[in-house]
Amino acid sequence: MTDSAKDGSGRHYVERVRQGAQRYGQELLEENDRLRGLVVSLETEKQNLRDQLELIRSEAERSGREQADLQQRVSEIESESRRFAEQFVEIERQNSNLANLYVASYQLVSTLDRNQVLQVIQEILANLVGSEEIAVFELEPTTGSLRLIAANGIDPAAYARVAKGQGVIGQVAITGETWIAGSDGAGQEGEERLTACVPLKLEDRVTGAIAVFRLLPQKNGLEPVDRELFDLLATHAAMALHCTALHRLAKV
Amino acid sequence: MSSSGAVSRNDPTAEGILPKVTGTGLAQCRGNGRPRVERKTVLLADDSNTILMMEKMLLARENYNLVIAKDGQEAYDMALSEKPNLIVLDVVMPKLTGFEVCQKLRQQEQTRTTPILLMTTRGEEENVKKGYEAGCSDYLTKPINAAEFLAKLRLHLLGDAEASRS
Repeated sequence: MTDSAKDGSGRHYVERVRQGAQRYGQELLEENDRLRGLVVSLETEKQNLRDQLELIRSEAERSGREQADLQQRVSEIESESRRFAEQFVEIERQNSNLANLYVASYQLVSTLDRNQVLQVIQEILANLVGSEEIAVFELEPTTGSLRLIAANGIDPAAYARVAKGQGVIGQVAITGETWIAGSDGAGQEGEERLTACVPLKLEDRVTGAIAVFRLLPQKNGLEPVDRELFDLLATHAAMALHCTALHRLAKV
Repeated sequence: MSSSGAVSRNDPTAEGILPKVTGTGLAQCRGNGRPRVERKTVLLADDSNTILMMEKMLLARENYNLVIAKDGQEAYDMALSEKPNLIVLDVVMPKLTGFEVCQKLRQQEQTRTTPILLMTTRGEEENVKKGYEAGCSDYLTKPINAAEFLAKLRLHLLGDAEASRS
């Protein structure tokens, strides 16, 4: 090979290397650009994910708050519902108590027959209060003592006549106040089984008394409505008995 | 009160205070375009006006047909003629006791499964036992506990409705 041929071949080689290096440089630049673009897109994606995460976090917080609110509301509704149920039971109880009082009052004024009035008094005490041992007394103005006019479940002979001031029953005729067992001193002999004694009153004047002895086995003591029934009996029963007497006089 | 269940002078329904008590078990919802609802018929038997009035007051809001009997024989006859869905019987009644009425009704095909509630002041265990032996469905004691009375009535009427469906 001649020198000029050698020179030509060397230049050609150098040229090829230079071109190769140039191409490689170009490829590196392109790769660099591609990677830079990739980094930018990843950064953008990262930012998007960060935003989404933030959104989800705030959504979760909001849901948590909503859940707590709902739980609070549910517990409020539950307690409201319990309160309504309790109110309903209380209203039912009051309704029943009013029915008791209404029935007692209605029955007492529904007849002018003395025996029927006495029967109604016994029915009220047996069926509404819960005692089948009772005695009804009338105050005799002439003797000033209480005379037994109706009895059930007790020995009538033992209570045929009670003097004013004698035992609990006689005391009630003086004070005009209802006596309930346990409220003050026990009764005298024979009055141990006495549960209550109710005066019969007309315009604050005692006209008689109702003695309530032992309660029925299933009745566990007197309740507030029983005391209201006693108050009602004190005036309505006295008035009913008085009306039967007036009616009898009018007929004569 | 008469045996036909008509109201008497001694009855607040006479003045419109309480719903009228009918002597028949006919349903009364008609002609208003709504589906006809059969009202349940309840027979109340007691010789005490006080208790009958109390029971009627408690049942006034319940939309039942009420039929009334004042003694045991009348209760037995009305149970067969009116075919009530439920019977409330007092134990101590003239002519026939509640126990006797209950026993006789259990021997009749048409009242063999009718719920019968015995109601009495006699709350002793032996009386309760006697009531169940006579075939009563439940036993209630006086004085009436309104909540218990209504609850047992509804319960047995519900049982009666389910039995009829099946």
